[in-house]
Amino acid sequence: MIAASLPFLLLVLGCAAALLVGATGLGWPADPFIAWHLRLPRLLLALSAGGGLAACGLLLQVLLRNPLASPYTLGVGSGAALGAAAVMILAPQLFIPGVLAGAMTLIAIVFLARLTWAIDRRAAIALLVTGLAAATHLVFDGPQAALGAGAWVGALAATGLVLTLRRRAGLSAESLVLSGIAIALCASAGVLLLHYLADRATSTAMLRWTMGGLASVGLRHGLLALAPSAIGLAWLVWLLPQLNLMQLGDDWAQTRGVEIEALKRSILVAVALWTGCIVALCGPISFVGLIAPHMARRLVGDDLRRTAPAAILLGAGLLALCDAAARIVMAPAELPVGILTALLGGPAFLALLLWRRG
Amino acid sequence: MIGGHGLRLSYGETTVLSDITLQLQAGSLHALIGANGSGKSTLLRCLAGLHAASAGTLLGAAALTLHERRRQLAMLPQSLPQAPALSVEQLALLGADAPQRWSASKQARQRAHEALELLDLLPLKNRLCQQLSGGEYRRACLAACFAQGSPWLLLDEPCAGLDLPHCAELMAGLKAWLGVDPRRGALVVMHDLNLAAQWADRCLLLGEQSLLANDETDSVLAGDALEHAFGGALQRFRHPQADHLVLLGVSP
Repeated sequence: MIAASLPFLLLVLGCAAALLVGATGLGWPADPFIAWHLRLPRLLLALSAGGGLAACGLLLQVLLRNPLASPYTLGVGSGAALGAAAVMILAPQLFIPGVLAGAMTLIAIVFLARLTWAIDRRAAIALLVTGLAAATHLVFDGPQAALGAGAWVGALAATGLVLTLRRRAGLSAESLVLSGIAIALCASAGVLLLHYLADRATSTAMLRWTMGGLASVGLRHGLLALAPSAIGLAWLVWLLPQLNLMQLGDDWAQTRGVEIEALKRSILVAVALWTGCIVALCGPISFVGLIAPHMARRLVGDDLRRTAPAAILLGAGLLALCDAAARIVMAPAELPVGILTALLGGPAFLALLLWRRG
Repeated sequence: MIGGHGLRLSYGETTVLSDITLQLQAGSLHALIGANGSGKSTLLRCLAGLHAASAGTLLGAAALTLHERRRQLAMLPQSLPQAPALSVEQLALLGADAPQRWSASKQARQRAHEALELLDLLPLKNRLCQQLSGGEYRRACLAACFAQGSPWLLLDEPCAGLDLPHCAELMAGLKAWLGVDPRRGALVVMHDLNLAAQWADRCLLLGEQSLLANDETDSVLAGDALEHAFGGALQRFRHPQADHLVLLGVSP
């Protein structure tokens, strides 16, 4: 009972910390601008990114049947970094019209919905509805910074490559991981090459981006950050029972009525889109996507109808807490939250390994 | 009924089995026997809809679509992943309903309860699968197959890695399940001939890429085709109390 309520507790704690902790002291800020346009959007971004990364990590751990999988296992993070770095060098001031951004989102969502239709129609419809809402939001929100779009395209390209390889060679889960590692290595080498070619200021900016950060401006940005989570959750909710069956192997799931091939492809595309959006919004933040699913498994077991909500709450709460801490440990300077999650996440992961379930 | 007509099964260019015609009737325990690599698992997977035949037609329950098939046949794969942190009861409910359902229906709960009772797993129903012994976990997985409520059961080496008493326990559970309803039938891949001799009603012998025999257990195990299929000499004895054969391999 205590174990099951821990994710909620962490979430509440994270929300309170994100709203009440400031560089100058504890408490609700006197200036309404700080509360509504700085702290709240930042909290929304932290919740959305943390929850989304946790969900994607869990999905890949189930799909690849590999406890080491994280949202970045298949090269999504490195692909995104390469895309972002390329944009920083080639077109730093470029803005993408809202119509284009909306169209891109809609095309991606329709593609995913088509894959999902074979598995569960409710999931496909929910996906289309939320996707349409997000695309409309993007259209009316005007021009988007090209940096996010670059990261998004890079993430999708990496997954597209993995998917094509898988289709051509019929790769097993193990070779899927290996091909992900290979693609990540290539993308990282590309980033290093761009670092070498770039001038010092751009190189520093690129490096800073890969550390991840939740700095966000304005309530609109915060609301936009909720879109990937809304879309992802709408898709995930209907598919959890089928994912549950996958835990006992592909044969088990298929003989119990799961369209296994369609489900796997749908997961790969959804994870790429979801992680890609998150990385585009706040850079590659590590460890949350790895540790939150493990914590959830330890707390509530392997029934995904319970594990997934727990993991999402834990991821959201953890990232909100880490972000609050990142704002004050070096105040008035702000530590990039990606450094903090990795710094705290490593030891926490080790502790989790050593702590055996009674 | 479950079966196929003129099935050819292959992996890429390599043909494993060709021109397999079989029709299995409900009411008995069929053992699928043959040497290593003779295509036992491939044939089972084909009947379960997991491996497409490159020629021939499937018949009966095997010919249904993915969604209809789960009501007619359940399958226990040979290799199961590491036991998950699910209770035995949760495992039994996994797959007892249509895969899209969020919560188990009343009928599914009833079926799961009956399955656990049949396999003596009720005392363990709240235990996590991770805490079970290998034999208990295998029985829990079998209970999950029973709970699916389909009349046909395809099992791929359910006794692999189990010691003799646990193996007997599992097979006795299967026999008990078959005895409940005459419309039920089972096809079990076995590499241990004595297991087939002790438990199976009928035996299907695979060898030389084809179905060499499909008959009562005793006549298949006593026939010359068996030596032929395994490519080695065998010695046969009658069990002094139970009326079945006992087989031993003999080195040339």
